Amino acid sequence: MEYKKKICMLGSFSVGKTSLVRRYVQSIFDDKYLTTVGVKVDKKQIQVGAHTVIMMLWDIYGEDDFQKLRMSYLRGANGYLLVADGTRRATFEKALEIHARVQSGPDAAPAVLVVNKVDLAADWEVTPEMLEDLRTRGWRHLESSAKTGQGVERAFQALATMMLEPKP
Amino acid sequence: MRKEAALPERLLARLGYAVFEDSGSGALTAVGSPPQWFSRVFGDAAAGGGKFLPADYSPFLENFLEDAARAWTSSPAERAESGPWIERGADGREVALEAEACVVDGRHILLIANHQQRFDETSSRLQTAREEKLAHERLRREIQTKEILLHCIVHDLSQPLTALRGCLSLLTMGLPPEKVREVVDIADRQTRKQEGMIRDVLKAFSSEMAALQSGGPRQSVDLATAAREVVAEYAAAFSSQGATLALDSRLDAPGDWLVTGEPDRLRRLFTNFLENALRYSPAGTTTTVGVEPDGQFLRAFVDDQGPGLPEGITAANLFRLFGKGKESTGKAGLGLYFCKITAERWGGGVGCENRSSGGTRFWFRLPLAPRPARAPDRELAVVAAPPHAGEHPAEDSSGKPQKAERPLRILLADDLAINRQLIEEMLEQRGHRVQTVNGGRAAVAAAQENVFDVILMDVEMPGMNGLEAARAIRASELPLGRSTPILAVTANDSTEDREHIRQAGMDGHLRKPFGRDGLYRAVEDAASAAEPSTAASHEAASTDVAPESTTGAPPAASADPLSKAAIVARFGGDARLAAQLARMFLKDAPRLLGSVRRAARRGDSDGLARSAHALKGAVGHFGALAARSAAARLEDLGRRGDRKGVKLGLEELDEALDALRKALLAMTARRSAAPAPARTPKRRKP
Repeated sequence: MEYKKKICMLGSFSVGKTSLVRRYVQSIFDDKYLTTVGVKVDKKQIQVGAHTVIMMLWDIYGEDDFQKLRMSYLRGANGYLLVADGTRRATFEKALEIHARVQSGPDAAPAVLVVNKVDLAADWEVTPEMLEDLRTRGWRHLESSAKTGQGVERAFQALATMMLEPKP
Repeated sequence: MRKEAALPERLLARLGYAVFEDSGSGALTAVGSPPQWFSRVFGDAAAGGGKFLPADYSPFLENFLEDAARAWTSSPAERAESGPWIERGADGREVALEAEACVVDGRHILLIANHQQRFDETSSRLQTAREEKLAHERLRREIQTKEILLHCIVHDLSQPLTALRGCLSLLTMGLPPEKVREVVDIADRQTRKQEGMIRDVLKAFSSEMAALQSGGPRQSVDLATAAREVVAEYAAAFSSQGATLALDSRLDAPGDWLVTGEPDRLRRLFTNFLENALRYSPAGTTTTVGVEPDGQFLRAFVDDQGPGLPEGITAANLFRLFGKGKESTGKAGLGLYFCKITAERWGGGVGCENRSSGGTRFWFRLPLAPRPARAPDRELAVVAAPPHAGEHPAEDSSGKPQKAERPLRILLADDLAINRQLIEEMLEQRGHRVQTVNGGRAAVAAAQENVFDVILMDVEMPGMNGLEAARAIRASELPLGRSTPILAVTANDSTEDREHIRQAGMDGHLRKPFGRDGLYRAVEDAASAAEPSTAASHEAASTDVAPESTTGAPPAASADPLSKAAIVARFGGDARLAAQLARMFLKDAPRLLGSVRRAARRGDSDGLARSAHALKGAVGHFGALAARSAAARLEDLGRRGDRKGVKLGLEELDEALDALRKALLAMTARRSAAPAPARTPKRRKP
């Protein structure tokens, strides 16, 4: 069976959304920070068990004081990859805030929280307790590094699996 | 069918807009000819007047058509803007586009624009703004780190005052003189600690900043040693308020207590928890400090018997910056936060919980330290005295050993004065310089103050034992890239004992009682092995033979091992040394035997094993086989916790010691008729 799924990358600016997509789709990483201004859609086909999933990855600019997230971009989304930067606690809180906004809207869908930049773990402000707290609240979260590739495949694969699970 | 392009539409095309009109069912019809960029991005999608189906080319545009449809059909008519999005052209180049839906003369129009320059300018402005915001965040964190550092300094500087106050309070209680000395020593250490911290702050403020950010330089640190030290420091403070501070009994057992960290900060973790426990420990309660294995970590804990955590207070709250709040009975609330960031930066964590038996447990855990790389990696050397003819160092005509080619600086740690005296004497006869200390802690301090060629370490010592001292020395040497050869000096020779010695980072095992030649060979080979050019020689010296005479000379061919001739022969024929050590033993024997008896009477198995072990070592020097066997049996009973044979063992020991005592008395009495020349005072430092 083949599925086409729309996945939106959401989170604050400079958390690594674009880098995660580039690492996942093209297996490349650039250390230079280049802010995303609009939206870019990439595609990747993967296997989830016996199913083929065509992942339409919507890399959406990070929300901040200059650019607010347009909810219309999320129309028809099948899943969300919420991205936070482990070294900036505020981005973690922003990811949770966006998640609350999305899940209360018409396009609620499964979500995975990816705490990125695990290669800088020594400088993390996101603590194990914060992640443990999330876990106890039923969140699925993963740690990743677009720089090293650690956890990237696993994060997308986890979301794909969640999207294929029958809705309760 | 392409519609005839009127002037405005041609104008829009000239300005870079692709103009489409809604054809329904998600299709668009081009109005006029789209600009060149359109075909670069979408190919011939709108060529020949055909319909353009965005769903086939652009998921983004397909999505926007829904917004457009809403705008087209709203009343009054509205405009809808897509915001920028990126499409990749057939040539691989990315193009920034924007779409707008509007109604013109009743026609549903969609404009798609490629305002690359405007997009680039916006991108540039946002890039700058966001980079500045990131820089601002970094600066804010740095300022916060500085604030934390400042608080840490104030906090740390105030900590010795707690111990000092406890000491002063104890001094007002009319303590016995020996206790007063102990309390004054503790107070003195605290003032020195504070003085050292002030010096460090003034000297290394900038490097301290960097250290706080990174968690400090990491090395192997002995968690058990740190626990013992802080308990010794804080016992007086607890005692002064009628409470007790104790060490968990598991720390008495030998074990691998090395974690990754930094000694000063590690102690600060403990002291922060202890200060906290002290504030909440009423009179009559006991606070226990301990360490326990936790997978790939070691978990250190401070268990108090205070009121426990109030309802609603969680570890997350408490370990937050200033998490205790201004109303707290504690200080700024920074200490626990310091514990958290320090433990986490070392790869560990912190926590606290109420105990089921009452009170609270505060804990931190740190990853087990990787085993220090040793070069060359060699087997544990086991050396006893092999007095084979011709192998022992040549003697001069007086029977004294020849001087060593290379005098060594040797540190000797042994709690028994007789052992220290004997070994020091033998080594100095050979021309080596010896510094003696009577315990593990003093050995660690000496090894940090001076450089030695070899360290001889008694294993069984009260307080910090030889294994712990060796670990602490290894940990302190790690950052210096040094690895002083350490030889365990012990009568315990089981496989398990050897493994403990090896795990403690020691290089060899000198089995008691040992001979003079064995001692020389052990220390000289160990020193040679530490030099790369002669490393191979150490392996050759790893010999395990039966214990022999104390000095390495062949034992006297006497039927009575306790005859004067036999005893003097054990000291290489040095009657003066034999008599001197005999007198020392006679003076010390009642205390040694008393320790054995007290432990037996109290049913203190560990104490029995320890005291019998010490006695075994002392009598072994004189070749008192019966006394040595009796002491060894008692030691074994103590280790096994078997109380059945203790009474009989004590009787045997009494009898054997009596025989030894008589022999030594007879020897020293005769010796006293011709007094030995006064010895010159020993040099204590190499």
